Amino acid sequence: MTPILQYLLLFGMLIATAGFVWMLYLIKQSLGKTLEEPGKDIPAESGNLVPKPAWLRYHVRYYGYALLFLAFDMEMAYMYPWAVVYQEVGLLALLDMGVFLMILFLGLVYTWTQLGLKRQ
Amino acid sequence: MTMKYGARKGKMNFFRRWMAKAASRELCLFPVPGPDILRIYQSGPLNGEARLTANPREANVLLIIGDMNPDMAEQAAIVYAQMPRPRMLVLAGPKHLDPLPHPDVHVALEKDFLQTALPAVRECLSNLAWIDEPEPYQPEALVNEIEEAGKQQGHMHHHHHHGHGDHDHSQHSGHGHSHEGHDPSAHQHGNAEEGHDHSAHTHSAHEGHDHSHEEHKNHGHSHSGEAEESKGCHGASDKPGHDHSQDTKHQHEGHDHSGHDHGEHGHEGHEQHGEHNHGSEGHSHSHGQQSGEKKDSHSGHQHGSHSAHQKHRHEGHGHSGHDHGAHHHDHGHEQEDHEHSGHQHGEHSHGHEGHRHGEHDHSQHEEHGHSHGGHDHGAHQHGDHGHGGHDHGSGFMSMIAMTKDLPRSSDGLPMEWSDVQFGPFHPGLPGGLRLSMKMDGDTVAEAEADQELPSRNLLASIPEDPAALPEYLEAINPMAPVTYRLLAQKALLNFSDKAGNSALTLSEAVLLEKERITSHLNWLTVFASTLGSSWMRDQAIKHYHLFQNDTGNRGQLSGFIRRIKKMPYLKLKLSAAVHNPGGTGKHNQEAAGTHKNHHHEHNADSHSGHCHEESDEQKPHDHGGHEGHEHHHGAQGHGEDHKHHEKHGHSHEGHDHGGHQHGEHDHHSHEMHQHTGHETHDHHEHVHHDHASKDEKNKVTGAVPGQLPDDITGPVARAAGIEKDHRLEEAVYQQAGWTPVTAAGNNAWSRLMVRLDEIEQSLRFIEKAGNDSGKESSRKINIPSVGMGNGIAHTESPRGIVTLKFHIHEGKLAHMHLTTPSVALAGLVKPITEQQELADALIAVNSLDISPWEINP
Repeated sequence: MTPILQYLLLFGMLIATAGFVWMLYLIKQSLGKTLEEPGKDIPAESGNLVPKPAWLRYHVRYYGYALLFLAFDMEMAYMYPWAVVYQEVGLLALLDMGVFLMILFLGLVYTWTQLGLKRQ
Repeated sequence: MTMKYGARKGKMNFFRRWMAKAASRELCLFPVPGPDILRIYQSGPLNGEARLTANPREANVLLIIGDMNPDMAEQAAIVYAQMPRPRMLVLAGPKHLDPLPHPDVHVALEKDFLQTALPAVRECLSNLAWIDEPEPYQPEALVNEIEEAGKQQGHMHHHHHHGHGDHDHSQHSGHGHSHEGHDPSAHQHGNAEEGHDHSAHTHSAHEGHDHSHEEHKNHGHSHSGEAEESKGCHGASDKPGHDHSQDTKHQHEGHDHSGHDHGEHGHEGHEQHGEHNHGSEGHSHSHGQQSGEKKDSHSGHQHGSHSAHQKHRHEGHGHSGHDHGAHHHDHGHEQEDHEHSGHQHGEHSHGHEGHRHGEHDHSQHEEHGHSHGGHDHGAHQHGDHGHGGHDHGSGFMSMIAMTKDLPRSSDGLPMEWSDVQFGPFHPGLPGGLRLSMKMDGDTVAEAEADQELPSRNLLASIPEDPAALPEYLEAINPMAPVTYRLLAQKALLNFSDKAGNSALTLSEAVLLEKERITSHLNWLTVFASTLGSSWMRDQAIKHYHLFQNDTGNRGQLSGFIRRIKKMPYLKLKLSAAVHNPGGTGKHNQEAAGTHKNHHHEHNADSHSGHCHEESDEQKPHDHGGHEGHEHHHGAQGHGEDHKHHEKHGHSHEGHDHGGHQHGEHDHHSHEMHQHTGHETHDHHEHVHHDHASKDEKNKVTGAVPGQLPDDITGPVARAAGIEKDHRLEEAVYQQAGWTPVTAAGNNAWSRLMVRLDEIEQSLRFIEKAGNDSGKESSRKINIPSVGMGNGIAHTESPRGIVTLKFHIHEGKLAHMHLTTPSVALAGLVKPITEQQELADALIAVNSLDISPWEINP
């Protein structure tokens, strides 16, 4: 496929997408005007009027997990360079990584014992 | 059939007709009060003729089943208003329900009414989905309510900003500046204001101070950055609102704060603020530094750690009326330039560093700005002020400032709570049941079943003729009509037949057991939906209808029950997470204990979070000697609940930290933390050990039989091992050698097990009764046309013991009293949901099987 053809294809897809959107708009138009009614703008909460916006500073009870994930995820990043040289270094690399993972794992076990994996 | 309030506006054309036809084939019903009620009137599951939706936004048919009281009708109207057009209103039973419009389709409330209703709905929808003159649906009641809600919202926004510091005080003063009586739940004071109780901090007696808000800017404070608007979101202002930096010496010389008793002043009284010369020498607002500490008379304060503030000295302070005794002078504040950047006084922090009055959030009150160091902050509610203010130089608005007035979660984090309503039309709850919850994130801080639960509102008009009583009671509770009818018959027998021949006959017992099975199966459908198991729900629906139509066989149903019992992980989920902390007596105590735990913990946390940055020791407060140290939790200990909490904004109201010695305590001091005011202190101790509460709160409380309140009956009591069953007293059951099913878990799992076992037990009972089963009771009740007396009867309904008492006077029903199990069960909602994750809380509530129809306001 020549580059120009590729561009044509891309362009065609853009047109198709726009056409689809336009069609949806047409369908919406053809359904007639909506009537303004109070109540329609208020979120449905099983029959109650809830005016409050949900902008709250609420408690994320699993924040502990999030932090832990971050910590372990960062450490996992060390495995990428290791994987690159793994074949070269061989068994020693496996042992090295084993020690590293063990330390991480001990950290996880410690977290567990401290109930860090529980919902806060 | 005009669909005036349900049609879209416009002319019918080909395309629209086609759309309307399609919509009429894909009917989405929103059943009100709920699918469980609809099921009672169905003889089979909906097989593609329509779908039930959980959300009115997806529905095009609102199906109202039966009569309902005005309160619930109003909520149904809200649902109708929220449905997109074209929409239809179907009333099954009542001809009209205010404030709902006239129904598009009306059918009688009878078995399989949908068979009649649906064709009419289809026809109507395909012909009238578009009409020329539709009218907006805006009943007065609804419009008013929405307007009110809108106002609240505005208000809320206002406060929101307010909390963030870009609030203009003139508005604030509109609030009267004494936030007394503010109901935080309504107001939602943005971030920081929850629980502002200014009443405690009222500067009314500030002599010499002109706190008039209008003159705010003349205070002589050099607020270099006008704090009126905060830039950036969340109040993170680019400039510190008050940069007192020009006011290097910010010292109030010769200030005589003698009359200051902040504890009692009202802001209104802040006149003459102008005279409060913040530039005056000597006044060093010492408070700032220590205020981090709680409120109180700082007389004993020894802020050992405040070593960084230079110049900030309290020289010449005539705090005669203050309790600050000597302590100010110890501060050794060496803060050059007195720059209050770390001040929590959002807009104008008059030099009071670190002054964080939990309740009296200076950041919000631009006007009074001064919190004169020497004040007796005795009543100041220093929410969680801490010495956090001491991080001079860092951001102007710290998280601590923004969050100090927020309610504390069980782990001490300040978070906003939201008020959420579940029901009356919630797909995961029995139809008609309404729960009001205060959510702390996804955790239920507090929940309660609405005491004005909607019922059919029939009890208001008792029939005069005693003979009409069975039918009347039958109509009250659609969830257990047979039981209620039999109950009325029994009571009438008890009244008319003095020989006491009011015992159940075998055929009546069979009817009762049949109803128990259907009721338990219907409960299981709702429970399974909440649990998220569509398999269990669909099977329960199938078996419900099979049993109702007498077409099922016992083997199939038993097989289904066996499979439920073997569902992997279900037992763990239901018994670990959803526990019942026990009954009232003991329970309260226990709950109080737990509460305190949290609180304490959070106290500790908040203390530690108090930015005693200098000190490594996290619990520098010696609460040991604090008499009357209430820690708001105290209130809980006393049996009050979170409301209290909120209102006070977690303020350590009334704390007298007179003996605070910051920086000198060790952890152990916490154990001496004696809340002298608490009466239920037993549980107190473990609290303090290493924050044990955290570990404990998720543990399953052992369910000891006898913990439940005495008025709890039925499967919930039996699941706790209490053999409470009225059937034990009935001769029919005794002859059959019947014994109640019990379990010893007192949790959702054991309740499920008890109900499942009861289904099987009832099946066996019915089978044993053989041919006698299913026959209507044909006993003739002779009610004397004259005479008087009382009738009483008890029956074991599927939810527990129902008791009917009435008084007949001259042949007419004069008085009637019905005691139903659901009232007591509703009282369990609060204890079993506390601190539960939302899904678990809903499951726990469901496991109680509360019938809203049994609760009459």
